[in-house]
Amino acid sequence: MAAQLGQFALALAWVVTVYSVIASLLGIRLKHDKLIASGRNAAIGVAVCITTSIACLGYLFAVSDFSIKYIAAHSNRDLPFYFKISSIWGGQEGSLLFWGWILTMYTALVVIQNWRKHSSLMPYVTAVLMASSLFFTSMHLFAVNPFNQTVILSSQMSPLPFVPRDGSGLNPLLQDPYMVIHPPMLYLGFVGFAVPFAFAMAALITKQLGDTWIRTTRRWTMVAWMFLSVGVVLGGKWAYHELGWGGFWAWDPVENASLMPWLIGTAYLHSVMVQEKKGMLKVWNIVLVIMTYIMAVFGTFLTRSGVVNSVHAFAQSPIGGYFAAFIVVALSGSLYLLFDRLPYLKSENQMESMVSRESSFMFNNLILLASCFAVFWGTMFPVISEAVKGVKITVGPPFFNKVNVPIAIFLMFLTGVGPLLAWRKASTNSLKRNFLWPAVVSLATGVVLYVRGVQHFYAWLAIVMSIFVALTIFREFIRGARARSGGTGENFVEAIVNLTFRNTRRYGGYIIHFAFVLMFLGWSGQAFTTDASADMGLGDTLELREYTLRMDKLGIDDTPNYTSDKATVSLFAYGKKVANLYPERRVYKAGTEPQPTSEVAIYSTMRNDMYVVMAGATRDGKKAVIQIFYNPLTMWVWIGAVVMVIGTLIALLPNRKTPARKRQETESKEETKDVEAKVT
Amino acid sequence: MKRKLHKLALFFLLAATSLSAQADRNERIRTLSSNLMCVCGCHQLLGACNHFNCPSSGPMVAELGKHIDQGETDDQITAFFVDKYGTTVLAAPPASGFNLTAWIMPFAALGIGVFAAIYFLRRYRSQWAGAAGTNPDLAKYHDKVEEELKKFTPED
Repeated sequence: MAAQLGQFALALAWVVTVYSVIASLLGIRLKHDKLIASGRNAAIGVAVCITTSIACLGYLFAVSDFSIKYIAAHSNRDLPFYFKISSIWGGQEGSLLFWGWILTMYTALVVIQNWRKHSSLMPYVTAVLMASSLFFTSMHLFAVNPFNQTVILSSQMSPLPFVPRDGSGLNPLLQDPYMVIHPPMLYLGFVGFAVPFAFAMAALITKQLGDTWIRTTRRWTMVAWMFLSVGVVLGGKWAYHELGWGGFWAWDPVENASLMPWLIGTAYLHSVMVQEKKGMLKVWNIVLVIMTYIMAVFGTFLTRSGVVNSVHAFAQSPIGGYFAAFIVVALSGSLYLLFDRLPYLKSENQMESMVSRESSFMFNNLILLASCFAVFWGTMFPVISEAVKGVKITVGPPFFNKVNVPIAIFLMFLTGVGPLLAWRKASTNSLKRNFLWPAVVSLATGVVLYVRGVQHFYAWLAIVMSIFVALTIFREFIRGARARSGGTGENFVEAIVNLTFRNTRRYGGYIIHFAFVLMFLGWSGQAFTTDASADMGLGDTLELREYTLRMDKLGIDDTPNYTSDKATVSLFAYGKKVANLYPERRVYKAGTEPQPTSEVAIYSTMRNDMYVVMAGATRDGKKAVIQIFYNPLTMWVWIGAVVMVIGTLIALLPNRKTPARKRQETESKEETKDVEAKVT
Repeated sequence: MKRKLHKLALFFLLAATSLSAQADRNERIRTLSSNLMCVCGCHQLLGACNHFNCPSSGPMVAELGKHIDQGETDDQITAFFVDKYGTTVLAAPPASGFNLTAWIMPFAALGIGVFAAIYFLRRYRSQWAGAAGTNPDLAKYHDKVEEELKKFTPED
């Protein structure tokens, strides 16, 4: 029953989506307000339909209805309930339905929020979002339907409905708490960029190319960017916990797929400020919005199509062609519009100096785009090489690190310099005032670090640059707080808080930049990772740097979902016990073949992580094969991510108004009322 | 006594040399295995592949050690692995022939971008300056305009 309802809701969603696109476009053409409103209502109706559909899928997982092929392939009876729910996005069909669901929910929200405020843009926004939605609804219905029945082939080779006793289980790598939350975050980010894209298209179509569409979508873009950032970091955290190789970023094609839209989205968030403040880079901003959305779709294409090999390619099928077609249509349509509207996108101002805020944002954009291109090029080069030369090659971490690390360090430099340069033109004096002592202190620290043994060039440079950027940010806060407390009599902490909440965008931005400093430090630490391994019996010890690991117990754990070889090890730092750790090697029972995974145990401090992997047991079962990694500064990557979310949330808040400003606004409103009263 | 001391010194020297050679060997294995891929299909670097019962990584690392012990250079060892497993065993494309484009393109793109940005910036600047300079009536107000603009240019 739930399957039929889900299927019906999908079919209805498809019909209503088609209607919404047609009604919106026809309504605009005929200037028929009721038809336009009907298109809007249909968009909300699609959200209701897809919500019903995904709720049905969730219910089918919850009750383990294996008559549905997707449930049988991605769940089993003994799977914990929360993993049953996360199985919704554990495979191809469900994850695309999840994509489509988020898109329709975003559409409904955008429509409800903006209909009155932007009545001329909204019918086009609805049409563009619904056209995107149509692609996904069509996929759900015709290519990767999650409600298809489980069948077996009869002796006459005709399919017969079949209900297996148990399902094949969720991929063990996905049975991790981070996998419950990582894909939703990533999808909220990917799909969120559809909103600024739709507004940009609407602005191009209606020729309303001022900064209305940019101001309207600023918060949407930031929210999408925040979700995408969190999604990318959680992906790293998942890999760190689950893959057991000791690191969190391996430049895998699927990791790269999430990074590319993030890089362009970040460029867009910066360049959009130049358009808001100076009326410049209008064409560039449209290009960035288009590319961000296309890259988000391209990321899903990479993950789902299997066009490149990946450790993350959980669900591959021949849907690549559909995605490629969608990308070509969306890209060519939006670029055609852009070229057609070029005369309306003239800049209102010109760059006056190489050393100015706007030029630094331009270079920041170039660097981010170059980084994105390097990632794209490296990811696709195996495909290109095979197509051009017929030779299969691998492009792995050594390539990406060599190309992207210098680019990232330069970007970090701009992160420190850009926000402190004046708009239009920075004077030599202001440069000296803003940068002299941060530069001197960071270089002096660099010398000390070098003498104390930090001699890996890029890691050293990254640390020095991080210190420089952190100092420039602290300086800005201190300068602002001093000026404020001088004028208002507030104490220093109050002044910092008020300063931040009176200009949330600026100071929220600084906090985000500081978050990247912390993450950068965490990444730099990876250059100093060391490891050791041994076959360890009871009482055996293994040493690495200041740590000693002692094997205390070897046991077997048996749960309904998996069995595991579990070790209990004591960790000592400088001879003092600091933790008990429990690395495991699990074998999941579901499916036709046993599926082994390593569950790592991690002892984290702000200085370093001790990362313990149990690769398995020796043949006689008396010893465990243990590998340990000493990962310096890793925790700062996760702390940085939390700070980044805090910074983004602050930047999303409206500025707190001063009493004088409030009074001014009230007076102005009263004045307007008086004028209106006189006119009437 | 003197002979004993000599023997002790020789023992420590040999021990230190042996430890240092072992450390060098491990370091070379680490470096080489971070530039090669495991061929089991896990898509991981040889040095990072640690999944249980991997049929490839153990024998490959042992093979690396054997070639190091035979006194081969890093290039010779890499060439051996390419001969045996094909070019996909390399974790990054070699910087030669068509593969050179993999390395050059990102920096070329960045270079072109920077060049284009500087070119347009300079062109706009000269247009801007030219427009102000050609009209003497406007030129005398230039300083005043600059001063006023400073007041109205946003800070954030």
